[in-house]
Amino acid sequence: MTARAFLQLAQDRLAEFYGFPQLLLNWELVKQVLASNPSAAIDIQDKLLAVHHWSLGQTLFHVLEDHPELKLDIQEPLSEVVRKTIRNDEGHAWDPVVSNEGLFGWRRIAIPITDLPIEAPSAMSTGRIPRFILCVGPLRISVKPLSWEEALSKVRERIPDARRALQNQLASELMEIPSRPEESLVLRHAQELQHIWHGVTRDLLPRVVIRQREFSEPGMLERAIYELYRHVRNRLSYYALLSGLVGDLGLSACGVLLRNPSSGTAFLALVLSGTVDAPNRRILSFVPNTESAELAFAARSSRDFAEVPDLTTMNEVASQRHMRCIKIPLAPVVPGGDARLILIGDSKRDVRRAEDRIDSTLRSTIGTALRAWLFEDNVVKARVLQTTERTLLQKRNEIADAIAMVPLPDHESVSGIRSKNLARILSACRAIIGFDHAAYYRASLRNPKPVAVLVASSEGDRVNVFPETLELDSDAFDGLFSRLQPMRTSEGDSCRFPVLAGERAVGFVEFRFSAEFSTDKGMPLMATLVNRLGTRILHRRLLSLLWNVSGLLATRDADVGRRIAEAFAEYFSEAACSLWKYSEENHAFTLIGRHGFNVTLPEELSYAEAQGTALRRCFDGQKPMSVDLRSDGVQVSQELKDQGFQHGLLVPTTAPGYSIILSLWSRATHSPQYFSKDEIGVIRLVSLVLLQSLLLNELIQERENLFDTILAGVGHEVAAPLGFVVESIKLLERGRRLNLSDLTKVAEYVRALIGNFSLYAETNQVDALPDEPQRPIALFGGIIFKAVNVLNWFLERRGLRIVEDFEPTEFPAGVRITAAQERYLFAILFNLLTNAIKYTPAGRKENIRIIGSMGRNWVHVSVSGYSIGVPEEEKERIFDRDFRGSNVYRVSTTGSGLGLHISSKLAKRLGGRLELTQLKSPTVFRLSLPGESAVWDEMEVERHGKSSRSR
Amino acid sequence: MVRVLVLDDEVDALLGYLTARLEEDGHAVSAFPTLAEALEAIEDGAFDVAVIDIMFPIREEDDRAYRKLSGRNPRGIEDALKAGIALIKNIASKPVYVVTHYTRMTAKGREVWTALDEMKDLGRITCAWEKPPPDEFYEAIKSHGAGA
Repeated sequence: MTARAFLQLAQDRLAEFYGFPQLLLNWELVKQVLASNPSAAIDIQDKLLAVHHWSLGQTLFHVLEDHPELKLDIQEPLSEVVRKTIRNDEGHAWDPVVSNEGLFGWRRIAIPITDLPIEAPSAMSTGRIPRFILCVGPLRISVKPLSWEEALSKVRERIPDARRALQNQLASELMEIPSRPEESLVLRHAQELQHIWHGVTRDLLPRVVIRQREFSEPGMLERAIYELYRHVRNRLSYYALLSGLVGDLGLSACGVLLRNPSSGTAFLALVLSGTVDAPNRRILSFVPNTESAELAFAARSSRDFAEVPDLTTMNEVASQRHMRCIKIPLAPVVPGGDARLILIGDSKRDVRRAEDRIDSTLRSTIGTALRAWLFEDNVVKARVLQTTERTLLQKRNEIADAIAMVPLPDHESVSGIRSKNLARILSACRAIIGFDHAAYYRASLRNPKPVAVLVASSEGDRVNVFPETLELDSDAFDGLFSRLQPMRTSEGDSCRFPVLAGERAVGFVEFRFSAEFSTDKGMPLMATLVNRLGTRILHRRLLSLLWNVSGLLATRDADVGRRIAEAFAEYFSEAACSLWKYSEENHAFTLIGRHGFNVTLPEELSYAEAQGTALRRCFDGQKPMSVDLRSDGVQVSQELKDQGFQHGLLVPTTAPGYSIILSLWSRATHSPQYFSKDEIGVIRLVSLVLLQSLLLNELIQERENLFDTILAGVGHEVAAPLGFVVESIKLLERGRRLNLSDLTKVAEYVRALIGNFSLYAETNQVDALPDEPQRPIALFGGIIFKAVNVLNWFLERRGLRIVEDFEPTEFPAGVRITAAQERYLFAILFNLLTNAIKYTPAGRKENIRIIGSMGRNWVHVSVSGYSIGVPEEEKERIFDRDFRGSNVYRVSTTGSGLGLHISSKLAKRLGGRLELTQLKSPTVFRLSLPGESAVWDEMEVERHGKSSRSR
Repeated sequence: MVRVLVLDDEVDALLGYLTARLEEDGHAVSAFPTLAEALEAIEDGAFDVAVIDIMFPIREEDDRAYRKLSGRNPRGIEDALKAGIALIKNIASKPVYVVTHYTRMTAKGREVWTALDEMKDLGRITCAWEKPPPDEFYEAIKSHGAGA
């Protein structure tokens, strides 16, 4: 493996190990150093293009302690980034900070790689802090082809890739959020989690000697790097110890060689005594190789060290000098591990004298110090790390359990705004997260000034900690509902977290902490709680919406449309909602209900009138449409804008003949994904249920009205002649003489009337004519005569006559039909004649005429009477069920609206048709029946002898 | 003898027999089948009791009478009901009996009977029956006789 390949590998592994999205080394520099001195160590103390994971703040300056001027140079851009990071709620962008000129003409770049909002400087001590890649480099020795701008560009390119990788890593964590969070939301979660996992600092500065070697064994490199990291962290302690020994013992150099059998590495720290003018020289060497480490540990002289491939530095230092190695026991902390104290002097005497002074007490002291530096401190830190991670995970599980323990409410308990279940959840989470009080507020955005309404607060508070309603000022509204960011409040140590549904906030939770437990500590767990609550609250609201809508649909409440609109607005936490229905029959939009705003728009708009409106555009487009009231050229009520609405969403749902368009209006600004596809799906689903229900209700209402009208009409029709019969019988009982044939005629009339209504039931229920034998029936002598005869009583009362008018040579005498067909023919003629009589105004005495004629393939029978006629605009509807002409009030108050409808249906059943051939008086209805004259003439019936006769 | 004013358009069926029965009971019956005639008879005031059907067809020649009663032109079948009610309002201080084919079984019938019940509560009508009226109706008419 080449040095470059090794460093490339190391760089990638380091980045992975420390959780950096990117770790950048200046390869040209490394190459240059290697080229200039291939056998020497790469001492990058001065020339490093520093790659640093800055975390605890002060550690950066430890790294740079030898170069105070560089420290100053770095401090400024770094501080700027930190400043921007912690004040991100003020809207700063996350741009890297680049400074062109430093003290040495270097250029610096500081790139934030995490951006958890609202990080106070105090939080740095807790481990939850911004993390950066800080690159500082001497441009003058940086070799092309990579310019800083290009490097910056590459870093920028790599950051999204790393973020995407994190998103994948966290995908399972986020799977439970049903609203398909958008990338930005995932990123936020990812950053927060990343923050927790890598919250405790682990910095590294590879300022030690590394020789090239193979790291083929899995995990070897990681272990070596970790070992190196530990020593780098301890280097100041080593230096302090060794500098003391060099001075006290009068040595030219003193070193400590440490070996870790578990990682197979060794580490050498050396201090060479300096002069008054020159400070002590300090060298660190790392042996990431088991074989070399063992050789180094067995070495007793400079000659021995010369055999160790990775420790040529020692050879150089000890050459021409005298050396002694003293064993410093480290066991039992490190099983099998110990250290060597290396004494180097200009003479044997110096070395021996120094050795004598290192008695068992001093050896023990040095051993204790090394153990503490090497292991105990790190063990504690590692345990803290592990415990922190485990605790966080455990607490997250506890939060999940606390929520899962409280079942979703049933529909009976979902009433009013307060939620006992949410209060139970908040109370259960109090001990887990460590807050004193918490409350969930839902947004009530109906009024121009947004208000939050208390839904639940943690139980057990002696006094009402939280007000029932909170007025949200523009900052709070914008932060929580537009930018969707947690916000600190002005009241003590408390903050508000928006509860998100997709890219929208449906409310927020306010947490209040005591002084002992700060908001900062609870931040990740608070985020966990509100995210889980968001899921739950959406479920609850969906159930509530479905219960509400289904409950409302079952009522006949006149206000049902408005209440359904209100239920929708509540579900989506939006200020206003309106529901429109479009009917193909009327070609018009009708308002079903409106909630949350007051407008003076008409409640019915024809399709043409709606031209240019959002309603019409949404209906025409047949897909969800977002409306920006500030910029879109869509016509909406000015009153909407005046009331502070900014955005709207319109969703159409269509069924045959009808559509529903639901519009939601918001006072917050919308992002393109403001409403998720799932939410639009909910709108469409519930709209469809609503649509079907409305259609069903309409149908039921229509049938009920029809039944009522028919019942009233039939009752009226039959009651009049029956009243006559009853009164006649009473008069007979009282001994009065009456013409009994009148009673017979009335009875016949009533029978025909009831038979007519029976046929209506028959045509509705039976699809086909009964299979009966045909028999010859005379048309005029049989069926028409019978119909006229039944109406005699009626005719006499009205003083009218019916006249038959046909040409015997041109008209068939009879037909061959079944008994059922005969009944049909009779009913048609009975109805036409009854109408002709009933609707002839009192005083008119013109004859009603029955006219027969023969076409090529049709037989026509027409009834003509001087009735009130049919208005032109009603001729299309005259055969409709339940239709009565608008002018019938001129002649009769009774009628079922069924006569012509039944007749028309019966005519079709006979294979013929019934038509209105003349509207104005005399009004003419024509019945046409199929049949060639030859067929009709086959009848064995007697032809009528007269061309015209009357009855 | 009671002077009975019968206002009913159903000359073809019931009116004749109602009139016959009332005459048989010894009353002086005046029957008027059109709105204009009915209004004229009411204004004339020569009756002791009025018997009226609640629905009146409004023939074209009745338009003027209808305008007089309601202040506007007739428009539809609903006005046929209003015509009857308007006629009743014009009968001041005389007993009014209503006979109608409407039953309480249907929605329209319930609407009509609600109006009738209200008028009864207000004292505008004395009583109302479904057609044909029971003997009680004839007894009630008799009660308005001089000897009653």
